[in-house]
Amino acid sequence: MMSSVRIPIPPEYADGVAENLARLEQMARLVLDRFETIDEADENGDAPRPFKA
Amino acid sequence: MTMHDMPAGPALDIVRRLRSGESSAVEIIGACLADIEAGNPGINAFVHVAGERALREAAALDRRLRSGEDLPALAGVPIAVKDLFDIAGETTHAGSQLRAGAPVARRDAAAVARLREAGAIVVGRTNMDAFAYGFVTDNARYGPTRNPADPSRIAGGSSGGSAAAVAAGMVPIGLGTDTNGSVRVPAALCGIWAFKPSYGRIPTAGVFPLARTLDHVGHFASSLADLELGYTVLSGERTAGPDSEAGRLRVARLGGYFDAHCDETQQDAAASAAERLGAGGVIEWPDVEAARAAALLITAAEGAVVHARELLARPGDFDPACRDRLLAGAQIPAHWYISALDLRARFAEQVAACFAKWDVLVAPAVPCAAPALDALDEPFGAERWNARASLGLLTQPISFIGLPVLCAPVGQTAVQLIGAPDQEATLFRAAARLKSSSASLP
Repeated sequence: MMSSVRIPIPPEYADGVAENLARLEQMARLVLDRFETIDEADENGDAPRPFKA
Repeated sequence: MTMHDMPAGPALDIVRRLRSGESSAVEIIGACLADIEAGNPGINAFVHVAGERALREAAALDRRLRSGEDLPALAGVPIAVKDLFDIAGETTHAGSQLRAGAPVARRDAAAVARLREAGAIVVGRTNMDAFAYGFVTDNARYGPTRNPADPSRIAGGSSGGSAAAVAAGMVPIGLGTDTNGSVRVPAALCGIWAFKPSYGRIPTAGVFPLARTLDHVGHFASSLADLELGYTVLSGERTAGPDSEAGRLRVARLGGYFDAHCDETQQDAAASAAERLGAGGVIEWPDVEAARAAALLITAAEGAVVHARELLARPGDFDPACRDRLLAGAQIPAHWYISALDLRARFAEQVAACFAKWDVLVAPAVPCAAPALDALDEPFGAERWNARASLGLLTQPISFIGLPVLCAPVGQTAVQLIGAPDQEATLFRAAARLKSSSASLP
């Protein structure tokens, strides 16, 4: 049987990993906010552009 | 102790003394090893000293000299190498107990090979953050590296051991790596010269990776002349040479985000360097905060890829300082990572536009002076920064797009001189001009 390729979070490290994931999520929000969403493009009546102007 | 006090002396002086017969290589390396033996217990820069091998190589160099051979550019110069580079016949621990049983390297890393081919002698491996994932060089296996100027403070990281070895005058040149600032942060906290060229300029073959699309090789030196000599050997390129100050340089200071994320001392250092270089203005880059965020995401995702098998098999063996971050990186959704890559391409285009007008940009390298070792998890500085998380705030957005950066000492810190892609020679010209404006700069 093939062993797992998904990396689990051992329970003893869950708090530390959650803290780091929360920080990464903040960073992801900063990055993703620079991209135009389909909804935003629809409001402008244009095809979605990769980045906000 | 400074480089000027040590028996071995700066690299160029060592080569001169060797060629003139004033000193033998064995004497030079012997003096260097004595300095390390005396100074290392206080700062913990070296995790392994290869004294016997270094003396053997020095004796071989003396035999070449006696046979009338022309000696290469770095003949007899002792070099410190971060424990991330392969050295033939030794195990690369990458600062982690996970690597304790790893086989010895079969060949030198490309950068180490270039230094050794030029006659340099590797005297030992230096301390670092585990797997180069950090800015403090506080290592669970080897302990912390202390700042030679004030041992109660950190030397910075992740190449802190090499920086401290140079700052303490143990060696004239130290080899490091810089993924997000790991050469520039310790250079600034130790107040020494350092260089991180454009991404890919010096091969990373034989360097244990942190984040493959961000990893750079860089180096520290006790003087600008040694920094330039080291770069010439590492890159195989000539820089500006003896007329390096000549020509007009268009210099601006980077403001905005870079002013907002450091204290007054660092702002003053950047302003002073910019003024001495005749800066023509202050400019701002767009989207720097998002760029820094993208650099963190890319590092976390690519770092987790490197360690995926060990994170599955034995997460408990990782240094606690990087384990939770690597496990978190392994959970990153693909769209975060790909968006970060897309943002990098756009940010590089936006920044490239400013180099049509400017040759060199001056920016602070760190938010503030070296934090105390016993306060790494406490907020510090004017903005109450967290040392572990914040020391790369001003370096990450620049290495993110692979720009060359020369760190020049200003007072007790160092500032970043940033150039356009592949314009390394321009930075050495700017550094020479800065040095000529200050009699105290080595």
